[in-house]
Amino acid sequence: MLKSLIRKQLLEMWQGYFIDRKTGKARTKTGTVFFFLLLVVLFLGLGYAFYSLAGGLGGAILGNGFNWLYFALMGLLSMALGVFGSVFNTYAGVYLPKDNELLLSLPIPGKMLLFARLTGVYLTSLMYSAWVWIPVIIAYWLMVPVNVLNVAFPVLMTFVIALFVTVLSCILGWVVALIASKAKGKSFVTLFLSLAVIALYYFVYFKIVGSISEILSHIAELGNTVKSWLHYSYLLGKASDGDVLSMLLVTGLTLVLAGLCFLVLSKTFTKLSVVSASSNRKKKVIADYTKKPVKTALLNREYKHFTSVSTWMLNGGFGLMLLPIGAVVLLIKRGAIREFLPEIATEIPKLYALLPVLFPAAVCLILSVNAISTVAVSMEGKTIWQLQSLPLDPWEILRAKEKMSVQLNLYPAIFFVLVCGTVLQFKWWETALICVAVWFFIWAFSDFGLFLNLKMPNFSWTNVASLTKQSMPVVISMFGGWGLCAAVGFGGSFLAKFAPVWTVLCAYILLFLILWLVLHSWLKKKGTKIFVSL
Amino acid sequence: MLYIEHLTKKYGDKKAVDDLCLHIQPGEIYGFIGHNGAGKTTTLKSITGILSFDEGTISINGESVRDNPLKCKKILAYIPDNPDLYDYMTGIKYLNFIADIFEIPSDVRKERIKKYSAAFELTDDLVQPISAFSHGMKQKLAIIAAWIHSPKLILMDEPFVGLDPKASHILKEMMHEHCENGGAIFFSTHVLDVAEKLCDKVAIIRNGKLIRSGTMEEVKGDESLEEVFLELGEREA
Repeated sequence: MLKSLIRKQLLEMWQGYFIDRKTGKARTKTGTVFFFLLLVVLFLGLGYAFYSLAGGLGGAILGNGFNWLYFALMGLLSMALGVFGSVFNTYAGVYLPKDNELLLSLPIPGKMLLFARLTGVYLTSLMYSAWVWIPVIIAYWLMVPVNVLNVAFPVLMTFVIALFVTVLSCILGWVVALIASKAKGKSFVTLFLSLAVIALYYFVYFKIVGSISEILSHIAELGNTVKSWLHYSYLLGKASDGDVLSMLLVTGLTLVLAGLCFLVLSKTFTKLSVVSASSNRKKKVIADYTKKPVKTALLNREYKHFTSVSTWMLNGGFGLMLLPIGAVVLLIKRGAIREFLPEIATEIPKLYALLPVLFPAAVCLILSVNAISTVAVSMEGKTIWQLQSLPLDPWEILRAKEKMSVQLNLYPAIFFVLVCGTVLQFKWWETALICVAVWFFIWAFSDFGLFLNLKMPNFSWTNVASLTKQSMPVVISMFGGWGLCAAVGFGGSFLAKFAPVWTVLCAYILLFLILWLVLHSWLKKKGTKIFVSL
Repeated sequence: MLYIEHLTKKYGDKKAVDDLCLHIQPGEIYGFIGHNGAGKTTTLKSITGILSFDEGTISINGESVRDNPLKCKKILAYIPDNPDLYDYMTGIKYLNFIADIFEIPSDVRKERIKKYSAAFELTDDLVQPISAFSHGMKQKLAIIAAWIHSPKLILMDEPFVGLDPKASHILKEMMHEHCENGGAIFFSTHVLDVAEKLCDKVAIIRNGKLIRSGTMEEVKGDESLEEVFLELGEREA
């Protein structure tokens, strides 16, 4: 029974990559190969960044009797990324799947169902934490003499770290479920708590990265601090370096923690799952019968839908939160930045000259994280019949989805550009041209998301996280967006060698405008037909 | 009102609906009966424009569903067998959304919502999120939404499933009232007793093919509808 449940869990997570949800048939080999190539490129690309970080740290620490500290610090980073990857989805993945009630009505012990759900969390944690940890191990092997223990133990530690991350994610998911079972605005509670975790993650990450130089000069002092305050990390570091006793201790401790966590979660799993499925009732409110134009009604419906699904807000609108926060930070630090700018201008004049050219690509890169329109069609799920049976022009429906994505992206992005333009002392016309370029990018990117979702819709999802985090359209839109931004950044830098900045910015505008027009025209002509036939 | 001519809908090689012809006039309550998988839902979804069809024509009030889907949808309402409504809205917001789409003035919608929600004893629940509604409450909400724009043609897929006896009675009264005012109703059901008492005409479908249709008397004669349905089923098998 457990095997079947786990198989079902894995199918939910990965089926979309191999099976076409529309036809129910296996994807073409080309499609599958393309997807895996994307994954490999992504894994290698970001993995290399972590490898460089580990190499920098390891070069100073390893071999000085502080090998354990290398693993302890990088282990913290690996855990932070693991938690970041899985924490958003634990609540949705464990307590909110649509088939929870069905499965609980079958003769399946609640603990078994919970175990199967947690297997999904574990695999997600493993995927994210290994992203950091594997490059860390490789960098270590290249810098120290290897033996059986320090080859085997760091590899085994990959699975132990993932288990620890699972425990952390589950605790947060459980707390969110507990609060949400009593709170009114569930989606906003989830959003708030998850954002708190993100803030913590970034705090830890930037502390570690920012303190590397300090670490290098005060290794012994830092080592003592880790030993006394983060004993688990100390053990993790020692174990990864090949210490048998520490390996046994850290593995045992993690297993005990996982066991305790499972025990606590299993006590309330059935209750919280059912509460989540039925939801609490509101008190009376005054009914409003005001007539609204069709376009407004459709747009309002989209907003209502978006704000009611915390997983969609978190995964689809993550970049939106980063932009205003970034703008405020820049405003606060504007004095220091303005002092620093002349230094860049004299030390690296080429980079300084390229700032207005690289900046729009960076903004678009952040915006590419957002997957609002990318899942907007699939989010209709089984209610799709409603839009199809009403006297609505499908173009109006798609326009509402497009408009919401554009509006949500546009205001934070323009705010960010204006603030950065002021702080970085761009010329007014440079800021204006960047605003226009970003505006067209947002239109093009929103339409690209709709294009992908219409091509690869999925209405039979049981767990919304599988849609907002793991679906093929989301993966393609994010990495496609990043690829485009990288190409734009490199292309713009190259063009800037021969042409003035305004020409490069105009070239960006033209490129995004053409992309938008092509996608817009496709949506109007073919996209509407696909929507009707879904 | 509704003209279905030689409707054929295939799923792959399988014909879900095969050369179906049906005519429904204003003022008629038309029942559509058949075993599970006979093609009832496919037919209803094809009329509504949710599903495209391979052959034949469907016209509502003289307008082709294929050529003028929006004109047709403006004068019809559809209630599916399992009303998956927008869980993220409250009942009243949902009704207002449907009313907005049909451009119903504020005073008219207010009056209709009050009238029908009172009839179904749903007034107090309209401010609750739909996610908190039971199946029966969702069914009632879908019925109110269907009636909110006074459509000429109402299509319903198993409308009595999930309704309590009182709500079923109210729905039957609403159906009669609608037809007395010149509207038409086409609905599928498995409850043959209901069909026998409620419908002016009935059509029996089996494996996508229409095997009998006409007024209730023409279809069943002196027998009960159940006997005819079972007899026809055995003969066709």
